[in-house]
Amino acid sequence: MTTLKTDHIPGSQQGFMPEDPELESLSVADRRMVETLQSHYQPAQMESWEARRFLEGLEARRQAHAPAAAWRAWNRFGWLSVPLACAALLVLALGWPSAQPQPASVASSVSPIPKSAVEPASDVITLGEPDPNFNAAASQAIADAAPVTVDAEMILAMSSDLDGVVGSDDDDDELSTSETGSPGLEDSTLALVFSEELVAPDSDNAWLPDDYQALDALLPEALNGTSEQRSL
Amino acid sequence: MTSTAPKPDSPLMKGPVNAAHASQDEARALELRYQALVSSQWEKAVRMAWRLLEGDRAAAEDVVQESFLRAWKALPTFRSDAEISTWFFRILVRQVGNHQRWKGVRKFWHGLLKEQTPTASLPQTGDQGLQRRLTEAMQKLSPGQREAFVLVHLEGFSLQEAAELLDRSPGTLKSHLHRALTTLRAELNELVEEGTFHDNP
Repeated sequence: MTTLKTDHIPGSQQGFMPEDPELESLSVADRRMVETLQSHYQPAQMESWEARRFLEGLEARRQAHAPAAAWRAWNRFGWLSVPLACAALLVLALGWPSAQPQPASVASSVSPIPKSAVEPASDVITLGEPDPNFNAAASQAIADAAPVTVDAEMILAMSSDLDGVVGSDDDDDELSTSETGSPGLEDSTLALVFSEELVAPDSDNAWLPDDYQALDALLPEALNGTSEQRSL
Repeated sequence: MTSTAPKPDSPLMKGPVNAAHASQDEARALELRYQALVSSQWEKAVRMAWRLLEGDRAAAEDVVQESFLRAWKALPTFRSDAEISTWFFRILVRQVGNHQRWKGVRKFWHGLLKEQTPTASLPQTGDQGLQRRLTEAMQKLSPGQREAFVLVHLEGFSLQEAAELLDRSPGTLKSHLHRALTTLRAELNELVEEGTFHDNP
């Protein structure tokens, strides 16, 4: 009996007879029966395109499953959506939006404050208690100021510049511009005293106490002159 | 069947990515082996499944396609140093066993419903009477006897190979083979006396 080896494909030989010693003991009748079964007990001739059709179907199946593979890859991390959603809710619950700038829509929805609520109820303005340090500081500034020679013409010129600027329209103010045509005495005096030109400490013309006395003597004269000029 | 292999530039040849293999060349060579396996062993696989499934051609083709598909999916796990045909036929035998188990379940429910089970499809060529006699004789075998007889005597696997494919011991396989021969002798005794086997070498 011829024994056929199967080097690459086991059992690939038709008419193959087993090489095992136990199976070699088949009788002639059994051997012929087996050979008959080998040749007749098999399906009809198969078409050669079946394997090719399978390979083509495998390729089509692979192409069709490409999106499914991408979906599976995405779905592999889909469970992350649960902790992410919980984290987002936690952040919202902790008031994260309050730390952010208010959206424009919210700002525009706020009604403006009524003008009547901002303006004072009356024209009276309470200035509060005078600063006790103010007089001391002013006196010190005047003492340190450079002496300036002031004559009547200068005062008149400065008074005319301040005309209409300093003073008020109060009827009770007897020195108001509306009545006398000149600025109030106290206002114009203060304007002169605190003018940068008169109190410049580095100037050689710093004021001396005698200058103040001269100024006091000149002021009534200057005011009278102004009234006379206005009357004319 | 040599024309069934796809072209090397076919997307199919690119195959699944196998992280277990060191290089893509190795995976590509493995896929080429798979293509050659499908092209060369398709007929043999269908014939073996047909014999194991008692002549059910449709079931045999389904089992073969499923087996090749499973082999394709499991190709990354295949060890390249092993024989790919042995690996595939092991998958095929398992698929046949799964099909037979489900066939038993279906047969049970069909019996309860008093319906007829599908009959085996006989080849439409050759001696119809002889083929019917052979099919009826093979159907007399138990599943274990049929598997052992088909693999060893009809498909040419060695006793050791068949034992590995069926996941059984060689001793058990020998026992099945002996009983299968005894049954077939009894069933085909008339053919022996008629001298049919002598006319069909």
